[in-house]
Parts: sequence; C-alpha cells; structure tokens
Amino acid sequence: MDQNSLLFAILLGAPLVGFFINGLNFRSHNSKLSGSIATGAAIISFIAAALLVKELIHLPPEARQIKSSFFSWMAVGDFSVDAAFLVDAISAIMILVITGVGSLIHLFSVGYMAHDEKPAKYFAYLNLFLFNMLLLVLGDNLLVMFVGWEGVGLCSYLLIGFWYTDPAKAAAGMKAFITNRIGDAGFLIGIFILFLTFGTVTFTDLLSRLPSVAEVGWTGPITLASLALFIGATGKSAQMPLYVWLPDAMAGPTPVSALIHAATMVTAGVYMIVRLSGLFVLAPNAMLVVACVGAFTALFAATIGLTQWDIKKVLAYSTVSQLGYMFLAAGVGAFGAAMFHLMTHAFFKALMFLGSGSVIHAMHEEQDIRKMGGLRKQMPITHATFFVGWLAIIGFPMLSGFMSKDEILWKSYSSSAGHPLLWFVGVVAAACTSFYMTRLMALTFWGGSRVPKETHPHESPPTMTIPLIVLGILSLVGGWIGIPHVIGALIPGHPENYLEHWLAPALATVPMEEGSSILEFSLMGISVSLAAIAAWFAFDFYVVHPERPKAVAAWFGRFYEAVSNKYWVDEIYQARIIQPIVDGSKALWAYVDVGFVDRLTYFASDVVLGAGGMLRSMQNGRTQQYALYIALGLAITIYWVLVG
Amino acid sequence: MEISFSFRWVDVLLLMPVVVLAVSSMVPLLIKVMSGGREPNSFATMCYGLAGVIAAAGWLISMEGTRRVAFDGALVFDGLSTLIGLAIVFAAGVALVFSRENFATNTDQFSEHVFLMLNAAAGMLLVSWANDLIFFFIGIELMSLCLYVLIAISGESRLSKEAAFKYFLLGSFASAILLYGVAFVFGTAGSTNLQVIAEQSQDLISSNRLFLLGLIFLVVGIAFKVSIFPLHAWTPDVYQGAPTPVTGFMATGAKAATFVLFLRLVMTSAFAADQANRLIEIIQWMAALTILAGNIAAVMQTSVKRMLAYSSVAHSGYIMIGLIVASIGGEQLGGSSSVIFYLVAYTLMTIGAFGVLSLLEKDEDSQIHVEDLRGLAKRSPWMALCLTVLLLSLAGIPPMVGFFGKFFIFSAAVKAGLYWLAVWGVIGSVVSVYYYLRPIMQMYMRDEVGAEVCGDRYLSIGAVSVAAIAVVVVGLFSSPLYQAVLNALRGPT
Amino acid sequence: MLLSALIFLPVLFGLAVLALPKQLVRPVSLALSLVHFIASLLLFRNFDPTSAGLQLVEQKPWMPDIGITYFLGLDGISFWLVILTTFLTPLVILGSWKSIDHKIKGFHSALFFLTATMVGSFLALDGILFYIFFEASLIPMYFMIGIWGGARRLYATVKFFIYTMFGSLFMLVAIVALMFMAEQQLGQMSSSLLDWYKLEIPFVGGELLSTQTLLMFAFALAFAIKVPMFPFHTWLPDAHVEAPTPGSVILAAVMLKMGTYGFLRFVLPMFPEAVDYWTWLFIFLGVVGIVYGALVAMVQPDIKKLVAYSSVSHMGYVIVGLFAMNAFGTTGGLYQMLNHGVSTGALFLLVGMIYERTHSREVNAYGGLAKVAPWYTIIFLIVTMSSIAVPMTNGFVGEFLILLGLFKAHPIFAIIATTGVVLGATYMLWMVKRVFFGPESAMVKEHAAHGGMDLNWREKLVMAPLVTLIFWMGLFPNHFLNYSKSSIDHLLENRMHYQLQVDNSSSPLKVVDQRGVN
Repeated sequence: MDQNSLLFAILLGAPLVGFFINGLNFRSHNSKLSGSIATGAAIISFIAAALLVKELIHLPPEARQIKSSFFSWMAVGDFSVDAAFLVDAISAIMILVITGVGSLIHLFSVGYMAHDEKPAKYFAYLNLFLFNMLLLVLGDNLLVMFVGWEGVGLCSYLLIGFWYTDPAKAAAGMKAFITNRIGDAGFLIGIFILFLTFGTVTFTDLLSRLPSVAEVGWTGPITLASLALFIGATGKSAQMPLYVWLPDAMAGPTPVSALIHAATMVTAGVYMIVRLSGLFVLAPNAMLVVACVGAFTALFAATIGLTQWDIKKVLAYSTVSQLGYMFLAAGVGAFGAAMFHLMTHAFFKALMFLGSGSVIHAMHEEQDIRKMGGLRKQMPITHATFFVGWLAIIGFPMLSGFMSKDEILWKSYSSSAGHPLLWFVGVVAAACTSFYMTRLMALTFWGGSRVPKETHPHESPPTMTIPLIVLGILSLVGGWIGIPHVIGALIPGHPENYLEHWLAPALATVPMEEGSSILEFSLMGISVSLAAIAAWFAFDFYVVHPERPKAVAAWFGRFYEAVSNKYWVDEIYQARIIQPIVDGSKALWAYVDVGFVDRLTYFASDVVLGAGGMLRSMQNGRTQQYALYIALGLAITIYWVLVG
Repeated sequence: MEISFSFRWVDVLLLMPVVVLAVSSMVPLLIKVMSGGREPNSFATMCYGLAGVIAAAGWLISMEGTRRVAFDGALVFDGLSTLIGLAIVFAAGVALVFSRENFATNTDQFSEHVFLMLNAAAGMLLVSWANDLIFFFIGIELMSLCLYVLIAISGESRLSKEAAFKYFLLGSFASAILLYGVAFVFGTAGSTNLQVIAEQSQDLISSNRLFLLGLIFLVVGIAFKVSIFPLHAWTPDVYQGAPTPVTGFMATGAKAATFVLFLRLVMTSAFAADQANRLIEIIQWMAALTILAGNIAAVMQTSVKRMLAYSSVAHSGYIMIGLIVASIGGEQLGGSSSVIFYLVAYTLMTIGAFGVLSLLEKDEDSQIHVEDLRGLAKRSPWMALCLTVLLLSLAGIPPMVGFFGKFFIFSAAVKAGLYWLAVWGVIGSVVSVYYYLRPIMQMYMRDEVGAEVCGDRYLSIGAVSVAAIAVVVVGLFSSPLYQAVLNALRGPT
Repeated sequence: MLLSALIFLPVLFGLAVLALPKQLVRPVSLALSLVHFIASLLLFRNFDPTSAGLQLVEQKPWMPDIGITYFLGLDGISFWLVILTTFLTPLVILGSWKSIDHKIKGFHSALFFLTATMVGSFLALDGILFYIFFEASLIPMYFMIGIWGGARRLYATVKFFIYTMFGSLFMLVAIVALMFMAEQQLGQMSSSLLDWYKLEIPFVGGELLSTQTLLMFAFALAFAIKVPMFPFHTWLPDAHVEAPTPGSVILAAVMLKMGTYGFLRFVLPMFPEAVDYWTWLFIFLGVVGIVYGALVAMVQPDIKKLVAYSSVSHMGYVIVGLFAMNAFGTTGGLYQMLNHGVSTGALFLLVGMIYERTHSREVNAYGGLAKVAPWYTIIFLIVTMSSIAVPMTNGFVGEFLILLGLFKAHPIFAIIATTGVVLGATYMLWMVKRVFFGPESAMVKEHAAHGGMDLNWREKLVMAPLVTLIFWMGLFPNHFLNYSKSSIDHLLENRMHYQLQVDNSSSPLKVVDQRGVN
C-alpha cells in the first residue's frame, strides 16, 4: 500500500474504528471516554486529510488528483465499480471542512452530551457519519458517492431520532430519511442515465466522455440526468420542494444540527453539482432549473425564518435559505462561488448552531427565544462568537459571509446563465436574512431578560467554548481566501482570489460578463445597505420598541399568518400527498386484496359449494329418482348419438 | 348363428383361479353346516378364504407372460387379465382381513360373508377376462348378486339393508340395459365375441344403427357399474350403507374388473369409426361431469365414507379420460396403459383408505365423520400417517402413486389432443385437494378426542400399512409397474 | 453422488429424528443440519465457476419408457440457492429452539423433508423430477403451518396448499405436452430439460393460442403463484401470518425462490419468443407488485403481515430484474433472490423472537422497544437497512442492478419501480418508528418488567451469520456473483437457442444426450 492509499485508509478508517469501538460498547455511560475516542478519531482523520491536501498542493495545478483504489466492488457485465477514492481540488476543501469542523463539533459534543444517557452511542453515530460523509466526498465514482450519500442519510436518521423516546423526534428522523429517499431515487435514475449513455460512472471518465456541445431542449440524456441528479440534491440539501425535513431535523442533538444539518451533509447536493459541473454546464435548461429552485428556496425559507420562535428552527430555515444561495450560484455557473459559500457557511452556521447549543444547554433545553433575552451578560463567550457569526451571515463587509454571498449575487447578475431577476431575489432574501438573524440576536442575547426565574443560565464549559472560538475566528477570516477581485484590487498587496485559482482547473466554466467594477460595487452597495436597513429594523422592533412587531404583524394580516405557519407546507403535504397515499393503500388492501382477489377465489369456492348443494338435492336417496337418472342418461345418450 | 362354446379340459386349467376361489369359498360354509350351523372360528374362516385368494394369486402369477384364450376365445388370459386379476384378488384378500376385524362383518354369518366375497371375486375375475359379452354378463351378474347379498347380510344396520335393496333394484335395471345392449350387438354382429365384433365393427357401425344402439346400451350399462354421471347416484348411498370392508372391495375390485371390460370393449375398433364420434363426444361430457360431480359433491360431505364414495366417482371420471383416449387411438396414445396403471394405483389407495375407516369403526352402525378423526395422529400416529399418505395419493400429490396415475391419464389426454379434458381434470384435482386435506387437517392439526383404532386389529393394520407403503414405493419406483402394464397390453414379445 | 447426497441426507435425517428420544431431538437435529450444510460446502470445492455448463451431473434412467430420468446437476443459477437452503436450516432449528414446544420430532422431521424437497427442486434437471420436488415441498410446509401455526392456521394452510397446487397442475399439463413434443421432434419422449431446450416450439406472433404462448403461461402461472406475483399473492400474507416462525422463514427465504428460479430455469430459456412477446406483462405485473406490495405493507397493523407484503414487493423486484433480460437485471434478480432470503428470513426470525416474548404482533401494541431491547433493536435496524437497500448492505446491490437493468430495458417502468425505493423505506421505517421508538407502550412495559426482553446468546448466534452475510454480500458482491456469472451470461447470450452442456470434467458420468435438433 503506497503512502497515499495509507492516508486514504487512515482518513476513512479512523472514524470507522471509532464507530466500532463506541458502537460495540454502546451502553457505556462514560461520555468522557467515548467522547475522547470519537474526537481522537476525528482529529486523526483531520490530520490525514491535511496531509493528503498537502500532497495535493505539491502537484501541478492541472494534475491535482490523487486516486486510490481498494477493491472491485461490483462487476456485472460492462458495469464495473471499484471501491476507489479521489481527492482533488474540490474534495480537498470538503475533507478539510468535514474533518476540521467535524473535529470541533466532536469536541463540543463532549461537553454537550456529558449528562446524556447514551453518549457512546451518540459518538458512535457521529463517527459513522464522518466516515460516510468522507465516502461521499471522496468517492471517485457516482456509486461510491451514492454509498456515502445514503450513509449520511442513515446517520442523520439515527441522530435526529437519537432521543427516540419522544415520538416527535423519532418521526422527524423518519421524515428526514424518507424525504431524502425521494431525492435518492432521483439520484439513482441519474446514475442509470449517465451509465447507460456514457458507459461509466467514474467521475473522471465521465467528464472526459461528455460531448463538447451543450444540449438543447429538455429530453436529452444530459439534461435528464442533470435534472434527476438535481432531484437527489434537493432531497439531501433541503431545497424546494423537499426541504421540509430539515426544520424537523432540529429534533436531534444540537451539535448534530451543526455538523450534519448545517455544515456538511446538507451541502452534499451542492458538492455533487460542483463535482459534476462539467455535466451541468452542458445542460443549460437544467442549470436554469437549479438556479431558479435555489433562488426561490433562498427567499422562501428566509421569509419563514422571519417569524419563527424556536432558536434552532430559525437557524434551520436560515440553512435552507443559505443552501438556496449555493444552488443559485451553481445554477448560474459560479461553481467556485458555490463552493466558497459552502465553506464559509460551514464555519458561521456551525458556529451559530453550536452557539445555540450552548444557549440551549444553559437554558436547560429551552429553545423558545421568547423566553430568553439578555443572555449577553451570562454567556459572554457564546454571545461574542455568535455575534461574529451574525455579522458573517448578514454580510457585514469583509467577513466570510459577505465575501461568498456577494460573489454569488454578483455572478447571478453577471453570468451568462444568470439574470437580474435572480440577483434581485437573492438581494431580497439577503435582506430577510439580515432581519431574522438580527431578530434572533436581539431576542436571545440583547434587551431585557425574559428568562424564567427557575432557570439560571451560565457560560458553557471549555470543551464547548473552544470550538466556538475557533469557528468564530474562521468566520471572521475564512473568507479571505476568496476575496473578490474588485475588493482585492483595493487592498494593499492585491491579494488574489486563492480559492478561485485553486478550484479553476477542476471546474467547468460558463462565460461571465466582464462587468465594470462600478457596477459590481453598486450592486454590492445595494445589498449591503438593504441588509443594514433590515438589521436596523429588526433591532428597532425587538430591542428598542418591543411592542411594534405585533402591530406590524397585524398590519400584514393574512400574509403574516401564512408565513408564521410556514405557508402550511407540511399540512398541505400531509393532507394532499401522505394522507391520500395512506388512505389509498388502505383502500387497495381492502378492495383489491380482500375485496377482489380473495373474493374471486371465494367466489370460485362458492361456485363449488353451490354446485355441491345442487347435487345434494339431486341425491335425495330415493331409488325411483335414481332410476330416472339412469333412464334419462340412456335417453339423452341415444338422442345425442342417433338423433341429434 | 348360434352361440356355442366348445369345451376343452385344458381351458379349465386356465380357469383355475376362479375354481380355487369357488372351492375355498365353500370350505367355511361346509364346516359351518357340519358343525350344526354354529359359526366357526372367524380366524380360521378368514384363513380358508385367504388360502383361496393366495392360491388364485399364485396361479395368476404363474400364467404371466402368456396369452391364451379359453372356450373359443370367450375368455382371454393375457397380461391384462393377470395384472387386473392380481389387483382383484389383492383387494379381495385385504377386504377379507378387514372384514374379520370389523364389527359389521364379523358376525355370526361370517362364513357366508367369506363365501360371498370370494364368489364376488370370482365374478370379477370372469369379468376382467371376458372377451365375450355373454361371459361378461355372467361375470357381472355373479359379482353383483354376491355384492347385493354381502351388503344385505351384514349386522343389523338398517342402512345396509336399504343400500342393498337400492343397489339391487338399480343394478337390475342396469343389468337389463346391459342385456339389451348384448342382444342388439349380437343381433347385428352375429356374435358376442369381442374379437369377431371388432373385425366387422367398421362395416356394422356405418351400416347398422342398431349396432350403434347396442353399443350405447352397453356403454350406459357399464357406466352404471363404474359410477359415471348421471348413473352414479346410487354410489354414495350404497357405499355408505355397505359395511366398510365391502365398500372397499366394491370400490376397487368391481370397478377394476368392469373398467377392464370397458377397455376391451372400446378397443374394438368400433369406437374409432366416424359414426361413433358422437358417442365418444357424449362419453367425454360424461367423464367431465363425473369429475365435476364427484369432486364437488365430495367437498360437501362430512361422512368420510360418503366423501370417499364421491371421490371414487371422481376417479372413475379420470379413468374415463384414459378410456376415451384408448377408444379413439388404440394403444399408441397410451390411453389403455394409463387406464390400467390408474386402476392398479386406485386399488391400492382406495382399499387402504377404506381399511383405515374400517379400523376406526367401533360398532356395526358407526359412521366415521371427518370430525371424528380429530387428533388421530396423536392416538395412532402410524395409522394417521398411512391415511395421510393414502389421501395425498388420492389427491395426486407426488411422489405418491396417485400422482403418476394422474400423470399418465393427463399425458394420454394431452397426446390425444384432448387438452380440455386434461385441464378439466386438473381443475377437478384442485377441488379434490380441498376435501382430501380435510381429514389430514383433523388428524394432525386438531387435538380433541375422536375415533380410535382398536389395538388388537393387527392384521388390518398390517394390510393398511402394506397399501400405504406400496403407494409410496410404487410411486417412487413406478417404472416397473408401468413396464408391467405396457407388457400386459403389448402381450408377450 | 454429492448432489444426491444433498437431497437424500435430509430425508434420512428426517427419519432418524423420529427415532430419537425427545430431549435429544433439538441438538441432534442441529448437528445433522450442520452436517448437511457442511456437505453442501463441498460444492465449493467441486464447482467450477468459470464454466457455464452443468456440473456434478447425475443421470439415471427412471421411467425409460417415457423418457423420465433421475437427472441432477448444478450450475451457476442453482448454486447459491442450494447453499442458501442448507445454510438456513440450522439457523431455523436454532431459532425455533424455544418457540416450537410441541410435537418437536414431527417438526424437525418435516423441516428436514422440506429441505430435501427444496434442494431437490433446485437440482432437478428433469421436468417431472422437478415437478415432484416442487409439489412435494407443499406437504411438509402444509403440516408446518397447520400444526405449529397460529389461530387461523387451518384456513391459511389450506389456502396456501390449494393456491400453489392450482398453478402447478397447469404446469403439469404443459410438462406433458413438452414431453410429447420431444417425442415428435427428437424421436423419443423426454422430460429432460436439456432436451426441452432443443425443442422448436411453434410460436405465432401475438396469438394467445399459439403453442409456445400457452405452454409459457402454464409454466408462468405455476411460478407466478409461487413467487408470488401480483395478483396471485393473496395466499402469502395469510400463510406467513399463520405460519410458525421457522415456517415463515423457510417459506419466504427459500420456497418463494422456487418460483423465480423456475422462471429463470424454465420460462426464459424454453419459450424465448413468447417471453419476448409478453415481457411487458411480466414487467408490468412485477412493477405493480413492487408498488402495490409496498403500499399495502404500509398500512398493515400486523408486523408479520407487513413483512409478508414487503416480500411481495421485493419479489416484484426479482421478477422485473429477471425479465429485464440483460446482464444487470438478471444478475440483480438472482442476487435479490439471495438477498431476500437473507434479509426477509432474518426479519421473520426477528419478528418471531419478539413474538415469543410478548405474544403480540400488533404494531400498535408496541412502542419504545429500543429502550428495553437494545441488541434486538440494533439487529432489527441492520436488517431493515438491508431490506430497504441501503448501500453497503446486500439489498442495495440487488436493487441497484435490477433497477439499472430495468432502466436499460424499459426506462418508464424503471422510474415507476424506483418509487419502491421510497415506499420501501416508508413502510419499514414507519413500522420501526412505531415499534421501537416513542415511549414504551403498556404492553412492552409489562413484559419488560420480567426482564429478558433483549436477545439471548442463542438468538444472537442465530442472527450473527445473517448480519455477517448482509454486509459481506453488500460489500463484496463479486464473491457471490462470480459463481453465477458464466451461467447468466450464457443464458442471456443464447436465450433464443439455449443449450446447456454437461460439464464432464467434474463428473464421472457421461450422460450427454447427443441427439441434436433435426
């Protein structure tokens, strides 16, 4: 085994070993031990990832790929898939984020889960998730990716339902898995189309076999495959119309929400599209769908976020919305920007989730922000780091979120695949984001305390605050590896857009309009000022004049009602899709199985019995009647043979 | 035209089995008379009877591989005669054993019972050898008369008297029809010898409608004896009324013998002629209706004996399929071989099944209902297993011999292009599974107490075991039997 | 002789068990079944996976007049099914250690006879011999359901028997017709499959009454009922619910495979034109089965019935896979047969284990089982994952290949079938949620109070090989597929003029029938 294979093996194996150790000892209550094992595994994995990326950096840009094949997994006919892994510019970012943020969240969990009944089980699942997520991003072919893809879904299922004694939580896990499965079915169909069209499922082969001309229309194999894969992405990355599972997924432990439902798993869809950028750019119609769904989701989820009272639900809808941005970016061909936002979002959203975890921990599992307020004083570190996250997400200039979001907005305007309308939707969504995040900050940390008397919030232990601090720093500076050119030009030393350079060889491109810096700056200005105004409004509503929101809500009337009820989407799904299916199935069972097929067989037996009854009446024991039958038999025979 | 048989002593030698049976049947009666009408030891009586049966069987076996005729061809001793003859004496022997250990038959008239049974067997042998309508009629009357009385003399059961009377009345009616048939055929063909009839049947059937009418009468008369719809109506009543060993004997021996003659009759080329088409047609309908009526009625029965009676009706229907094939295609299509094979298989399984019933009867009036079998597997596991095997065989489940019987019948039908009859038979088999499974269900899957096997009826148990084991063994290795059937039909080579 | 030994060893065992004292029945049966399993492992040594021919062939005349022979042989299609059968018997014996508490001699005897008939039907290469094993297998199963079954066992067992018998009798008529066809075309009656493959069976376009079409449907009906395909499936839920655990396991894991095996062995190669013409029907019914089975499974109040309907759905996959008629689909179909054997077998075992403790199969009576039976929950979840085809488990490999193959052949049907992926997850997870999660139900609490809710060592021992196989087959499918590859390729490539050669290298008997067509 060469060195790289060994690194792959350690990278993937460490969490797997961790999973087995904790998994076999799942009844252990020792959160420190199991937590250390799991965190150690994650850190080892991170080190291996870093070493691999170091190897990668040393390679020339156009040859930045390290492959390693372990064994032949399935070979049937001309379909042959290896358990093979690939790290390149795209997956390098992913493995660093996954293992890096993952390690921090593992560490955070040690404190967070200290008093839980089944810490070993929790850490086992967490390690298993890490393993699957790495499979997903490292797979050198669609099938290995799919293994990880479903694997993370499974872990997400297990972790959302971790506190399974609460039926709502178990239901949330199930909902997540099944919704994901809908997407997975699409993913599978995408794989089928690609394999049957191009004869391979390996990324590199696939991309090399693609034609050079973009496909027109909707029914070409590339377009269909792209759309099918995108269905997969909407499931995993919680986009319209399959986003419904993600808010419910907040039922899981908060670090899980941070890791799986903010930083890593939910971005898998984006990663997949970026990974297959070469394919998607050949299907402009599919790209358009991706962009529209992304933009719409970004706005839609952001509006729902405006009215939520659960701290995690706000963050969940925010995540859906931010993922929408990433798809918007991918859809307009700004794959680099999508990756960039994926990364920065991983930092600041993980930070905020962990921060919310810290708050919830301090509030004794209270998640309603109406019962918080003024926590700034009791939880200074949490507040400080959360503050950074807030600045990042609302796009405060020069923080990570600002860099990536504005690049997306600019590209959605300037790309040949973009449209000003997409930009506009993005900006409005950004304003909403700014409003609801400020509202969250205000209600949680600022203003007067509404904390019930019996609760005594306190700052969390170091295992929890250290990850917060690290993520806070990353949220601050993480964006600097991708400084937009217009801004870079103003900074002394003209720092380049490192990220764009790093990714460029691995990505397909669509032509970008070479817009003027002035245009770019003015668009940037518009979005920043809109966000600032929204933030000010929120501050005014929830800190300065807390009585105003009610009045505004009343003013919006029905619209407010719709938004605060999440547009009744869950209810509509339940009433229009799930219930009819269940009722229909019951009807099938009752009418087809029992009522028709069985009845048909009963009918056959009834016929037999009926005929038997008839025969019985013939058989009345009277000799003369029997003699009559004989005579009749004879007569009929004679008639038939001789006369008839 | 005259009917005459030249008599040769050597022919008597060929007739020895019948003679032996007749003689041995006298022995117990003589003893009884000499001891002043006191019923002798029933075991000894049975032994005399069995001795006759065994001697007859031995004689039959010794004649194997030859083809001879006696009385100017009125009786024929070919492989078929031997094979079916053996089946008949087997049935007789087994029935004797059952009779001795059954309350309804082992009465103070057991000697008479044995006498009648052996003579009935002799009649059956005659029927199965007959190559002449006169001999056939004599044989069938001998057999029937003995059976009427056999049914009537048993115990005090009112049911059996009624059955005997019913059988007698209807049987006489059928005999009359038969006799008409014989007369018409003789009147037109000028001979009662099947061989002679066969030679001119092609001309006769096209020229003389009376000949055809004679055939119809013959067919209907025979159909009565083998319980073909709609002439089967007597069967359940009589089978149920008769003492079980007698029923078993009737259901097997009488049926086998009569069917053999039926086979000999249809093998005369008369039935292959175009003019007989419509006759064949209606026989097909009869076969189909027999299968249907037998199986459907059996489903409704709660009395096991009555159920077996109807099942025997259904089996007649299956055999008829083979017969039809034989009638239209001679031997090439395997119709005749399937009939013979089925008859042997049917004899084994049916006599065994009635044997188990006989074992379960506590007194002469006892009627075994399906419910009575509850939990039999617990009380008499071996008998339950035997009955299971026999019933599964009757249902035609492999690897029992009944499956092969059906297999040959259906293959014959398929080969002859009579797909609809084959499929019809198949559907009938599915229905039959339902009622054959019911007793098995009761025996194994219910635990309540029901009928019981008396412990000391070892001989009957042994006889049933023989039948059951034979059903399995002959099933697994059906080739020798089938080979024997083929040899019997082809004659010595 | 190895193949004969594999069939007749269990017959002997079945008789031997009857003679044992009661307390020895279980351990001795277990030992004997292990002997049988080990004997079947000898096949690995003697079987050459690279050959598409028949191996270890045994042929003896049986009824020479009508060309019936005692003809056994093994190829890549039957190989794993035989192993699956012998593999499951010891597990079933171990699994029913406690649950079968009366008439244990009879039970083990029936189990051995059942094994014999199942192995026999996978090995038989003579139509009549196959039919005999195929039908004879009904008898022990009939007793198994009827004697050791649940409350409505009598109804269920009769329904099972008559349903399956109904179909197979038509097959018997078809078998007979083929034998005569052999007589016409090859000069001698024969029920040897190898001869049947040589027959030119007349086929006239879409005419329903053309010989080949009729024969195909006669065979297909028998197998469709056995599989069971929609709409012939209604015997299955009843039989499963009423059958004792071991009966359900064997029924689901092996007996249903006799139907799909029949499709692969008889229907596809013997009636190529008719199959081509009617493929759409089978695919259609298969797809309906997938979706229908899943939907109806979803609303079952009884866990066992749910699993039974899931079988309908899974067997639908097998059917569409086989009829996709390309390497992916057919291989996947064959693989799914094994998968279903392992995972549905495991599911039935698990349902039985909990039933032993609570005597309830009502989904609604359960809840919170995860808390009181963690090991049970873990294993159940693993098996569930296998059943809903999560990657890295065996189920995924099968389903993926099937859907890929189906997509290649009939994309629209494949898209409909893919909904089964979602529905499968729905019914299983919904059930898991209601049974294992949530607060403990009153019933669970009551039984948990006595302790012993979780798996004991024996039950873990039963599940361990199955769980191992789930992952082994999921991670290294090639280990398994290699044995079937040549045979399946051979079948697909030569389907229109299928021939099977006897591979004499491993067999001392020279039995190839050299008579060619025409």
